[in-house]
Amino acid sequence: MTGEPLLDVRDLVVTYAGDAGDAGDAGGAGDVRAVDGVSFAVHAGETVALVGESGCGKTSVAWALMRVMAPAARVGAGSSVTFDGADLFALEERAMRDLRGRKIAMIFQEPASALNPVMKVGAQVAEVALLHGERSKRAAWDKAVAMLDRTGIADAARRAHQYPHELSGGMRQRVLIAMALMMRPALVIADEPTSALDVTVQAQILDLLRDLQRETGMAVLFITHDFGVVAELCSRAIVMRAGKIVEDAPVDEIFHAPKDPYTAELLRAVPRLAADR
Amino acid sequence: MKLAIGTLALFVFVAFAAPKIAPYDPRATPQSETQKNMPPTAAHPFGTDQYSRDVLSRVMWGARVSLGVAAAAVLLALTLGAAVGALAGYRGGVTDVILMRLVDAFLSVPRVLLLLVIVASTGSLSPAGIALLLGFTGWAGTSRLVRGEVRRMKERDFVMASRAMGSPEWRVFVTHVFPGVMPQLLVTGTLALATVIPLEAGLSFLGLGIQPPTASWGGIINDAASHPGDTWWVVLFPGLAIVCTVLSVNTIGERLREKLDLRERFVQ
Amino acid sequence: MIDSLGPKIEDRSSKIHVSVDHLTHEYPARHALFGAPSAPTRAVNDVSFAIARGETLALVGESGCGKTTTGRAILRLIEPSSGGVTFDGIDVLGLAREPLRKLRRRMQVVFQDPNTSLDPRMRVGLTVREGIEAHEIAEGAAADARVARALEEVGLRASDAAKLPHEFSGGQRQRIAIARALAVEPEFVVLDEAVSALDVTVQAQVLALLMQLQRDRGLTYLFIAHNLAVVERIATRVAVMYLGRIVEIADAAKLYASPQHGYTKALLSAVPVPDPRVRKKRLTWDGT
Repeated sequence: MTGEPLLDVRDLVVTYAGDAGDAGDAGGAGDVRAVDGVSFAVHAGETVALVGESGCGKTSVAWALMRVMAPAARVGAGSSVTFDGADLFALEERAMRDLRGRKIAMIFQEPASALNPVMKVGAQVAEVALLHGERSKRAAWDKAVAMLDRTGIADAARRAHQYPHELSGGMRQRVLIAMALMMRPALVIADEPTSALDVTVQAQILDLLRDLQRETGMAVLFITHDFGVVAELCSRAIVMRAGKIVEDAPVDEIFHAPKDPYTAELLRAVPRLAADR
Repeated sequence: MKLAIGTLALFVFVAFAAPKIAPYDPRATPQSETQKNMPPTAAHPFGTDQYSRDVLSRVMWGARVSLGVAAAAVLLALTLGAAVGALAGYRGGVTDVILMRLVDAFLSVPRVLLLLVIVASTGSLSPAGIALLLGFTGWAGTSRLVRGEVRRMKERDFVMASRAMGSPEWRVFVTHVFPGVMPQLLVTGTLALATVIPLEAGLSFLGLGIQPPTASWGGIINDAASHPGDTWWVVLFPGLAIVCTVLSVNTIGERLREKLDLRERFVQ
Repeated sequence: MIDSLGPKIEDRSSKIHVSVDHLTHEYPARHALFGAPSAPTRAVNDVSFAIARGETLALVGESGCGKTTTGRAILRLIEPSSGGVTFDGIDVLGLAREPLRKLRRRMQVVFQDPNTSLDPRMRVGLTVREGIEAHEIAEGAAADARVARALEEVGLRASDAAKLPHEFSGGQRQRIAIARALAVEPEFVVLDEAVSALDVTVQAQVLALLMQLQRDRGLTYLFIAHNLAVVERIATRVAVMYLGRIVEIADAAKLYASPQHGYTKALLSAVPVPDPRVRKKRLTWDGT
C-alpha cells in the first residue's frame, strides 16, 4: 500500500473513569486505560482485522473512531485520528454526524438490538438515505429495496415491509449491512458482525461481505475475536492485547510466521477441525 | 434526597417522642370558651382549635397515629402482597391463574369506594382497625408486582442452577429468588406509604377514619372543616405535615428506584 | 456358547449410563392478540440416544435446534411433553420430587454463561457449598474443606471462597460453576455450551480442565455445543441435531472423517479455517 492512508490512527488512548462499568482487569479505583497508545492505518479498499480477546480494547477503538463513546470514556490529549484528510477529533459534532453513515459506517454485533423493533426494516434502511440528503421518500425507499436485494435478501420488496422480529437473525444482519452500505461509505467498521450468528449463517454473511467489498472497493475495519473469520476475510491483521497492539502484519505472516508470542499462543488456541489442519 | 430523609426522620422522631415533647395534652380542653380558635401565639405556636386544644400538640400526636397507622398498613399490605405474589409466581399453573384472577377482581373495585363501603357498614374503627383495613385493601397491586419479579427471577440461570444442584425448592426460593425481589419490595413499600398516608387522612377528614378525640392529621383538619377560613391554622399545619411527609417519602422511593435500576443494569 | 455370551451382553448393557427414548418437547401455542393461535412448537422431536459410562457424547447443532432443551429435559429442569429418560436404570421422568432431588447429586450441569448462572449476590464459597449442604455431604469445617478442595481442583484458590462472582474474570467464573457442579461428586455432567462464551485461550484451558477431571473421576459428559471444531477435541461420539431431530449420530472419528448427512456436511464446511492459504468449499443444506 502506498500513498495517503484513508484512516490514520496515531497514539490513540481511551480511558474510562474510575468506577465505570465492568473495567475488571485493571482493578481498584482510578482510571482504566482501555486503549493505551494505539497507532495504525487503513488504506482505501483494504480489509483489516482488529483481533483480540475480550477486554483487549478493540471495541473501544471502534467507538472512539466513530466518536460514539460511553459517557465515562475519554480520549487522550495526544491522540489523533485522520480520516480522508480530516482530523476527526477536531470536527464539529455536526460535521461528524454528516460523516457517520455517509463516509464511515458501522455494523454492530447484535442485529436484534441495533434495529428499531417498531419500524419496518425498509424504512430503517431508507432513513439512512433521507438523513444524508435524499429528498424523495419514494426514491429512498426504492434505494433501500435495491440495497436489501443486494445484500441477498430474497423478495426484498416484500421483506422491506416487515418488522425486525419477522426476520431471522441472519436476515437482520443483512439489513444492518444494507443500512451501513446505503451511502457507499469509504470505510465500514464492523464490530463482531457475525459473532452472534450460527456458523452456517456466519459463512453466508462472510461471503456477502467479501463480495460487497470487492464490488464497492470500500475499506473494512473488521473487529473480531475469531481468527477463523480473520483468515476468511481479511488481508491484514492487527492483534491487540490489554489496550496495546502486539502485532500488525499481513494475514499470511500472522498465521504462518507470527512474530509475537501472544499471537502464536492465540493461534494455537483457536479451535480448528483436524481435517483443516 | 438529604432534605427528604431529614424531613421524614423528623416526623418519625416526633411520632415516637410525642408523649415527651408535646407541650400540652392533645385532648385537654382547658378553657374552652376563652382559649378556643386562637391564632398562633408564643404559647400555642400552631394556635388552638374550636375546643381550645393545642394544635401543635395535636399535630405531634397526630404524627404518631397517622404514621403508625400508615406504617402498619403498608407492612401488612407488603406481607400479604409478597406472600400471594410469590406463591402465584413461583408455583405458576392453576395456583397462579386463580390467585391472579382474584387480584384482578380485587383491583377492579376502586379502593376508596371499597374503604367507604366497609367503614360505612362496620361503623367507626380503632386506629388498629383502620390499619388492618388499609392493609387488607392495599396488597393486590404489590402481589402483582412481586409475581412478575418472582417469575423473572425464576427464569434466571442461577435459580435453575440451584435447582439442578439438588437444593430443596424452599431453599432455592429463600436463597436465590426472594433476595432478588427484596429491593423492589422496598421501593414499592416506600411508594405505598405515600398513597396510604393521604388515604388515611382523607378517611379521617370525612370522619370515617380515626375517631375524635384521638388526633390524626386528617381528623385535625376535619375539626376546622365547618369554617376553614376563620381558623386557617388548624387546617394549614396538619396539611403541611401531610404534604411534607408524602413528598419526602415519594422522593426517597423514587431515588431508591433509580438506584435499583442502575444496579439491575450492572448485574445484567 | 450361551454361557460365554451372557456376561458379555450384560457387560455391554450395564455400560449404558443415561438413555433417552423418544423424547419430545413442545412449547405451547402462542395466542396472538388477533388471528389464529400458532401451532405448538416442537423444540425436541422424538429424540433417542444412549450414553455409555465414561464417554462424552456431544450434542451439536445451531441455535434453536433443541439441544439445550434436550439437556434440560434429561435433568428434568423442564418437564418434557413425552418420552423417557433413564439414569442407571432409574426412570428419571417418573421420579417424585424428593427422590429426584436426591438423584441430582449424581447428575449435574454447567451452563453457558457464568455471568448469569452464578448468583451475583452470593459469595463463591456459599455457591459451591450449596450442593454440599443440600445433599448433607458435609457440614461445618468439613464442608469448608470440601469447598476449598473443589476450588483448588478447578485451578482457583481456597481463599477465593470469600469473594463475589464479579471479582473474577469470565474464565474463572466458569471454573467456579464447574467447581459447584463437581463439589457433590456427580457421575454425569451436562455441559451446556460450557465453553462457548469464553475467549479461545481460556476456552482451551477450561476444555483441558474438563477432560482432566473426566479422566480423574471417570465422569460421563453430555457436551452441548454449536462449534464442531471445539467438540472434536472432547467428544467420543457426536449427535447432530437439526430442527428438533437428531439427523446423525456416530463415533466422533467417523463423523468427522465421513459425515453422512447433508446437514452435518454443511455444518462442517461452515467452520472457518484459521489459515488464509486455505479456502474451503462451502456446502449448503436446504433442509430437505
